[in-house]
Amino acid sequence: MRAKRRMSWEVVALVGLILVAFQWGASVPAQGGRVGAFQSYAKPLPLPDFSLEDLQGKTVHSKDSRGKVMILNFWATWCPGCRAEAASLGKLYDRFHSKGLVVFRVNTKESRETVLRFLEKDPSPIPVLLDEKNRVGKMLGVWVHPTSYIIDCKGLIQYRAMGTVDWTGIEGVSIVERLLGEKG
Amino acid sequence: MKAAAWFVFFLLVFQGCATAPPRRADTPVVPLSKANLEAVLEEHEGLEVIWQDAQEVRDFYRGGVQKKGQAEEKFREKSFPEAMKLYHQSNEFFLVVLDYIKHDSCEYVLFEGTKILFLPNLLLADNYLKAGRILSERGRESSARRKWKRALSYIDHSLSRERTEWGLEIEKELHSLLGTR
Repeated sequence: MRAKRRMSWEVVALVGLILVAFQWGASVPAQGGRVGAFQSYAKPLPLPDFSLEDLQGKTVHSKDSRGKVMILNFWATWCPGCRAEAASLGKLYDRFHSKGLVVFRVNTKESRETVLRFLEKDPSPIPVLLDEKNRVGKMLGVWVHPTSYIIDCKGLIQYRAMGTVDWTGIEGVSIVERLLGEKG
Repeated sequence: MKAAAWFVFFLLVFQGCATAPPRRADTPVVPLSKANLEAVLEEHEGLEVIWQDAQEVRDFYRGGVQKKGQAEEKFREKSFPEAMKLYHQSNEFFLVVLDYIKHDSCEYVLFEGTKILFLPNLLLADNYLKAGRILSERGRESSARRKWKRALSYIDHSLSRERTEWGLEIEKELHSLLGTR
């Protein structure tokens, strides 16, 4: 009798567990197991033209980088993941800049003063562009920070990375090397 | 065993509560000037989402909105076969979204300081409403009614979370088309 009762509670617990698991599965957005990794595009689309100001107030046009491999890294000062990947992105920039890699850190929805204050404490060798109205972020469909796009020399968006990335890791480095090789 | 049955019963009841919240009449109506089709389309202009490249739930939402934008253009031009195809593609995107995020929100937070209109249920309902109108135009009344009934279930779900003037207008139109109110 006792064994029977125990068995019935085990069945109940199992059913409960399955129900909770289904509920959990339904509420967790699909990440495709790709957060922080590089997503390649089945159909690479051209980067739309845009112009943004840098920290010195000079207007930078995206089309001026046509023919070069470019990384656009969307970030904000309040984003811990952005701060975490800044150092490795800086190393990648230092390593490949002379070989033709262009990198822009595109700050979203923050003032020049806020960004300058932040960079005083946390300097970066990479040029920073200001997207105060999130115009370019919206155009590309940036949902999270950090998000980066890797654009080939033909101006096609080849990869997207959502979340923090180790830019000195083998995956990032080999993508950049390959795209720079295609350029040559 | 009886206790076990009650436990499962309550779990199912709670599950039901979690997915179908009751509509609250006391919440303020979100005006059409805030939540409308133009505003939704404008938020997702730019780089197109291709089905094969949609990876995140939000990619699917953006893709659904973009396809809807194209469908609306064809609908206005009275290119009905193309519009039907695009409404169907838009719905395919939105149905993936609803597998993961079930509720509409007029203030869905993307990231600090940035909110969007996130209305997959309402947009699905609007797509089904218009697809039904196309079918009705072609004399396929029963297929049209099926689409409108489907639209009604999505608009009901949308309004249970966000009482939008836009949604209430769609609901009113659906009831009038179905002759249910």
